[in-house]
Amino acid sequence: MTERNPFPWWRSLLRTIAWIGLGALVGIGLGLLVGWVVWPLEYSEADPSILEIGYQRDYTLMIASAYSLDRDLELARARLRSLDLDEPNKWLLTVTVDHILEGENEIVSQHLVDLASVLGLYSPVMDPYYPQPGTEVGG
Amino acid sequence: MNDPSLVSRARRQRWLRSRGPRMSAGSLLMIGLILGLAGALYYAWIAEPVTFTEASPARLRDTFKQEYILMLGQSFESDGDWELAQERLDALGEFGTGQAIVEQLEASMRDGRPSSELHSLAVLARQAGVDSPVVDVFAPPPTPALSALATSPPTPPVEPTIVFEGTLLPTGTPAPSATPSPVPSPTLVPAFRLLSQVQVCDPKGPAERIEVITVDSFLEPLPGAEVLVSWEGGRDHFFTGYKPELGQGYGDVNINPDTSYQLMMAEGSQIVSDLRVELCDSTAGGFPGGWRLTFQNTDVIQDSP
Repeated sequence: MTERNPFPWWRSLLRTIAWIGLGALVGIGLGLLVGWVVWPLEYSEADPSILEIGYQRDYTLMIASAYSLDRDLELARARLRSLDLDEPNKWLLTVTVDHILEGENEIVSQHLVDLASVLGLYSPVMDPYYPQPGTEVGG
Repeated sequence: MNDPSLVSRARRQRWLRSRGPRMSAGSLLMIGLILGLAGALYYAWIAEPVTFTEASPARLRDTFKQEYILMLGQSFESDGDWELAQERLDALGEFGTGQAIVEQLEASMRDGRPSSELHSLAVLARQAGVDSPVVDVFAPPPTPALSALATSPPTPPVEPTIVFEGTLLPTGTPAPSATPSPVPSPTLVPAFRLLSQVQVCDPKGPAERIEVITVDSFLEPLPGAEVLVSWEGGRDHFFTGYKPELGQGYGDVNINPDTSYQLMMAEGSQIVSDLRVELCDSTAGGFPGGWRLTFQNTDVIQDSP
């Protein structure tokens, strides 16, 4: 007399996979919702490269002003690099030109021009900030 | 031998083995849920976390926040735009408070950062309305003495005197002339000169330290002066004024017996060498004693030619 198996093995396996798969789908959805929306991992350990563009621009102004005081070119370069820009020199020149053309703080413009010049950057709008022939620097 | 109940049990067990262990649907669902949740959280938090690309400075790492505050202070010092400085401080959120600036100032001082940086931070903290001794040291509030400096002639030079008595300052220092004279273009000459060197004795016990007192041209206490100390195999520095209870121009450093020290002002002064612990007279307690050096800042206003 042979026994009849009411649940063939493949049917049992299918049932297991179905339930685990259903649970996994719900778990994945729940996990992504929690991980990306409800409770995202907030990086408070970030570097200046994540700053919003306006803050990056302001950061650049501060780099130039700090350079005007400490005259530490390597430090200024390192600070520019921390913005993780593709072309930091081009960025500095753009910020300098924009700052001059927008007629913002003249002192800061001078700081930007000083730093840009030391880094070998030039734009005609920077001309008024260079010492004119016949004028004494600081005088 | 052929007990029907035993045969039935054996068949049942064989049948169960053929089916394998069976779990309930709820258990299987829960296993899937846990696996899915764990995998998704790993992906969302570690493999592909949310990237903030439009962040404010408040999200910066502590070291960059400190860098930001320092540059902010330097910018404010150079352009004097307090409104802009306030906006930048606000962008730092809770880290942009006056107290945070002072904490950074104190940490920078402990780390031996350049005095120019300390000054920038102190100026920023003062402008932010913080009242702290360390701020007073590096960004002293304007005093009548300082304003008088702009209209009074320099103190007549006094030859450095080495005295080994209890006198702190030379008593014969001429008072500045009250006659004002116009000064077209002030020129500051940062340097210190040694006014006096006296042994420090404490009748109650050893006083193994070097005390430095800095005064300005009018012999008023001068805080925030950096002092460099060196010895064989080491060096250190400190600032005057950080112990305001002992005087605005006071600073000290402990020294070891049997070690010879050299000391000078960071902004320039003669080097005072061979400073070592020596026994005081029995009348002064007879304990090991150190030294007290008084330096006068010779920032003088010179007439332009």
